[in-house]
Amino acid sequence: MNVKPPLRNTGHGVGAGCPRLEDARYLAGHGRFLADVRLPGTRDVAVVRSPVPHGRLRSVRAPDGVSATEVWTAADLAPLARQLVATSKLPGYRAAALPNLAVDTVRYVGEPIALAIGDSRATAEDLARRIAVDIEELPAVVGHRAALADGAPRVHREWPDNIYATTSGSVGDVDAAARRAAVSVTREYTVGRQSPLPLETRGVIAHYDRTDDQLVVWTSTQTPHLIHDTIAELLGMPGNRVRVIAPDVGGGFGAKCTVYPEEIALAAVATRLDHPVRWVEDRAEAMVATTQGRDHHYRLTGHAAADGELLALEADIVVDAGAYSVHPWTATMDASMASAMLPGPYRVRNYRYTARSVASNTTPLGPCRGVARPAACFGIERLIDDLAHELGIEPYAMRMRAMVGPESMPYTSVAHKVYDSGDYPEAVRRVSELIGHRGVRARQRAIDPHARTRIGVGYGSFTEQTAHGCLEWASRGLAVTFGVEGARLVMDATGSLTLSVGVQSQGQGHETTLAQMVAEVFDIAPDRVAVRHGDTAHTPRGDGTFASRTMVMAGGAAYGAADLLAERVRSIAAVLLDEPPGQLRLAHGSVVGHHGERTLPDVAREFCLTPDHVPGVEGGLDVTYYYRPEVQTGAFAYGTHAAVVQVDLDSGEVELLDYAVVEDCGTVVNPLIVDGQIIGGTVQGIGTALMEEIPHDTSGRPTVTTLGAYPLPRAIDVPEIRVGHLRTPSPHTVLGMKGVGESGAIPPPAAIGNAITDALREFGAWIDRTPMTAARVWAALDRAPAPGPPHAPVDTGAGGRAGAP
Amino acid sequence: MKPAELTYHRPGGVSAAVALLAGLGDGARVLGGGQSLVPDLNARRITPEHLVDITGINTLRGARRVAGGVRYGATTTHQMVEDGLVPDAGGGLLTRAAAGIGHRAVRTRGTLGGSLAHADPAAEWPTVFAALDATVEVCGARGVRSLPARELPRGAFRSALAADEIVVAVEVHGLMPGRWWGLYKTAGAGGSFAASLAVVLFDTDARGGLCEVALWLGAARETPVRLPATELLLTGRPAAGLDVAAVLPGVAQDLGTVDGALDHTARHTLRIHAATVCRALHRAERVGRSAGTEEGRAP
Amino acid sequence: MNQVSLRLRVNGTEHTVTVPARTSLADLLRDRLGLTGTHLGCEEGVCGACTVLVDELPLRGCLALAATCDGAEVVTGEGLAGADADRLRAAFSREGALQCGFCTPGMLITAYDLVRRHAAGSPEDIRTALSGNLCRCTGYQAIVRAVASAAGETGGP
Repeated sequence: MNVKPPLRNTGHGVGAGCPRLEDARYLAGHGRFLADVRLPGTRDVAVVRSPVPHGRLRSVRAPDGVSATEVWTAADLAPLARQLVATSKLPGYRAAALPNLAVDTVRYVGEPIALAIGDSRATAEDLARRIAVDIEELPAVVGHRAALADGAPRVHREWPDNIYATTSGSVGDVDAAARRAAVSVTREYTVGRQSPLPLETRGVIAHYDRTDDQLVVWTSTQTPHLIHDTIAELLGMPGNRVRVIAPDVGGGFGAKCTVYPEEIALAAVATRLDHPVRWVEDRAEAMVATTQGRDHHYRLTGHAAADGELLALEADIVVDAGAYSVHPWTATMDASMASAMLPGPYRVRNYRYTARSVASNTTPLGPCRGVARPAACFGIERLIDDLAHELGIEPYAMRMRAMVGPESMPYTSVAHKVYDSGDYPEAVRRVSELIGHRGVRARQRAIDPHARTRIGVGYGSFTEQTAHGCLEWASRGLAVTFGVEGARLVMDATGSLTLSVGVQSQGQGHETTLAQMVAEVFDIAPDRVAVRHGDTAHTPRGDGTFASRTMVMAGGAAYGAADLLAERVRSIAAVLLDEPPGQLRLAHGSVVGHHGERTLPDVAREFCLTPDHVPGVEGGLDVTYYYRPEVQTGAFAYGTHAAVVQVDLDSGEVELLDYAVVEDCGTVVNPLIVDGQIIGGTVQGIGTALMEEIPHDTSGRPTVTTLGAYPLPRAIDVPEIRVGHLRTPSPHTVLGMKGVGESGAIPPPAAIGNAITDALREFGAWIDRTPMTAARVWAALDRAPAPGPPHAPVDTGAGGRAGAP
Repeated sequence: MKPAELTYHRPGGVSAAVALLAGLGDGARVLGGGQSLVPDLNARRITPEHLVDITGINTLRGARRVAGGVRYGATTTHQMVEDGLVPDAGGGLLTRAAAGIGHRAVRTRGTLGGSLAHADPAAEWPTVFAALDATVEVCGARGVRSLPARELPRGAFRSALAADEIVVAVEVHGLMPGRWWGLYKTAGAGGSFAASLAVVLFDTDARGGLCEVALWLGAARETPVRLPATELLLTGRPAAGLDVAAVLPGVAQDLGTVDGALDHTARHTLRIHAATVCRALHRAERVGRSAGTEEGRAP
Repeated sequence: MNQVSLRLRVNGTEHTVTVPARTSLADLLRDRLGLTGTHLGCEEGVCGACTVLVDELPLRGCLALAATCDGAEVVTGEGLAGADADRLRAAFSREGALQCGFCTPGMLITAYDLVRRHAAGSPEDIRTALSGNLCRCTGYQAIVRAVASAAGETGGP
């Protein structure tokens, strides 16, 4: 399947920027999100949650006179469902059960303790308020430093410390390289805790259908089959008695691809009730009970040669992963990915790292668009700029000098990642043109030194592993390894096509792009293909939509299924047209031979309604294809972002004046959708860079618990983003596609952090953490050494040597 | 997040509303536009047993010109001010203030009186009406009384209103033609509410220097504060030349702080206030002959 | 009066309902009238997903108690109709102005109000006006383009 057939340029298949097929229902208000699902007799659930970060749960008592089926505690659930334990094969990994409802300890604000059921959400909340919870508050572990401190309280009492896992490695000879270096720079960088914050919160409806003898669980998830398997396992039910349905999902961004306690708890409760139960997370819950992202802390040392070559890299990485390991990612995913992706697009051959995942009394960490990469990118890219500054080289020129060149592809990185294709330096060159680098430098020179604003330009380069196979996931120690995706394609008697896939869409437009894959093969309009997803009863097995994998994996499966079905259709038409199948082709919705043609509806009608007209053709018009990439190291998307900022020296306020992206995600199926992913991801990254944070007070309580207090980027907060494309098909995927879902979110903190630092170079101030709020930028200026003389970097071009400073 | 059980009342007149409030006591809250109250109800941060909705009282909505100014009914919405459906006694200041509150879909419901009674230190109207030295008319079981808008807030989210009193109207003396007004809001995290809100009124002398300055700051303390030291510092100087460094000592003195003695956060906050004052000055507009039709530029 | 009875016209249809006094307009629309296109993203008036028109003015469905809407004319995302609505819907799809679709009905209501008031001038004006509606997917750029495009087709102010 990895042979690249030529694209047909039909105008509606691969490469067509057609509007999305799913738009109409959303625009009419007919989307069906979880809270919109109406099952007769449904009762609402409110969840009682821990108000404290750490405490001994002494008792949970239902009010007198309340039916036993209306209040559920851990004790009530215990006979119905086992607790989930996220396991990992990483050496030294410490597991801890994630309770469905807290048993004897609460470990973060928001941890579920009990369920209250009422006729409406309001009455369920009334009941929840009357449940008496007695908690003895314990000292909390707040922040990664406290978690690692000697004598720190322990999040999990049975552990000797607060470390989920430590991984480390050493490649090459860092010390020898350091001795050769013209400069060595050591810096600490932090990327703060944030929320993935899909606009639709989570939610679960569970119902035991006694007609079908089946537990039906509706949940707002990115991974319906994973939820299905986990519920069946923890409830001890055969999989064929469990059905999971993800309806329209209002954004995920990683928040909806772990298995949550509420999913297990409601499923368990539903088996004992004669009515559906529904829990719709409200925003106050979502701010504490949905997994959060980032919270990365780096101490990095870079060693560079005078010409900008990156000789060696040393990294001490700590990720505060919160109170529990979530399934299937575990608490170690961010740290292990950070260490693997830190070398980024650079040719460095000497690398030494330690990566620790630590536990604290905060909401569990989970995937968050880009996962570890926005933070790793912030670390390495800020370091590159600081090295370039020391060397007196333009930062973009140093990048081009130090990057893996196209002549080296495929290239195995120092962290053993196989970069498959592309021209990394060209992306830097292109974006520096797009942003007007020389013009920005000229404007900087023209600024009156007495002015109270400065401007700066900064870059962030990245590579992103997408659509990798099982072996890559196994290397991270995961108990579930993703790497196979199924698609079933059916042609009915009218000749219309239905594609069923195990992935799920949270806005990525798969009902359009997967239809385009089929349309490419059959040369038909995509709207003749109905794409079904999200229901485990009606879709072949699939892993779900995360890790920028769907277009490659499910796209590959859809394309494979379309190929198989096309072969079947040709064999039928061969009988009808009395021509050998090999001389038939699919064009404009027909099977075309040398002597005649038959439309697809014709062929379907003949085969389905009068099979006697088509003797000798076996099977039905129904095929299932499972795609598994032969090369499992993934298709690496890459690119460089550039930002121009203006910084107010009095207030520290940062204004984004300009923002440009040059990226390469290989073959593009739908440019309208790809641009939407890139721009949307970039704006999320701008949120990470400048705005979004969930801080905690010294007791461990989060201090941002409402949407009003959580600054999500608004339309006026972001500039027009200009996007340029490079197109290098991946040699490893069907049609050469690479994933694109996360890439936009990765480099903005780096590009913006570098731009702010560039603006403030003359004062000796630098940016070392996100979000770069006005207060932090001002504090960086205020702490800076006495202002030195203005420093203009020397533009040496790629590979050039630094001039005299 | 749904409100706790409550009983809803919709009186048709002020006396009926006041009688209800007097009868219901502490368990009742007045519902105006609800744009601050309902979020608190939804989150059950407050759980009043009774809501007395005064938006059904027709006499409280809208404005009329009175001698020397305009009287705004308490349930006049921000959007009515924004859209010019009522006269602007501030020669453009009220319109600017209204347009900056929350979002359009909030402004269509939120009311002037509700905002004053809520006494949010970061809200627009308490600071604007304090700067304009407006008078608030309130009505309670013991009758009607008037008090300066400056005396209505008594702390963050605390007002001088008794439990049985409602705001009936706010009366504003019109700014004289030729006077300048400036308003600037530096938004805090989330973008809606102010991290700092400066309202400045001034005249100019023959040399373009500021005189007769009234400068008020919101979101800095529990209630809007006047900045007399800064006013003095500004007097006689043209607005255009003023920068943060120039106004900072005045603002620090007015807020009772010493820049050097503060931590980073507090020193940054001080600068945000000083920058907000400067922005209000630099964007000041002159009241035209007929308010709101003629715009000037900062001197 | 823990229950309130009210009469309102929603998307052209008259309804008389009795609901608990604590019911928001959004919950009335969703739970009683089955109009689930009005989405709840925060219930604190921040996200804008529940924006509907009441007596031709946009408001937050989560911040209006249903009881306060007695006698009102309500238009939801489902009921938005006419040439401006058609142009907006077409432009949203053409420009890629929606992804997950959760914010879309509220965003459309705000955009519709903007176009109807002839207030969709510069991209900056549009961005300001849309800033009370959060979208986590698109980065807003396509939405701004769609609103500008639809406003342009109506002939502008």
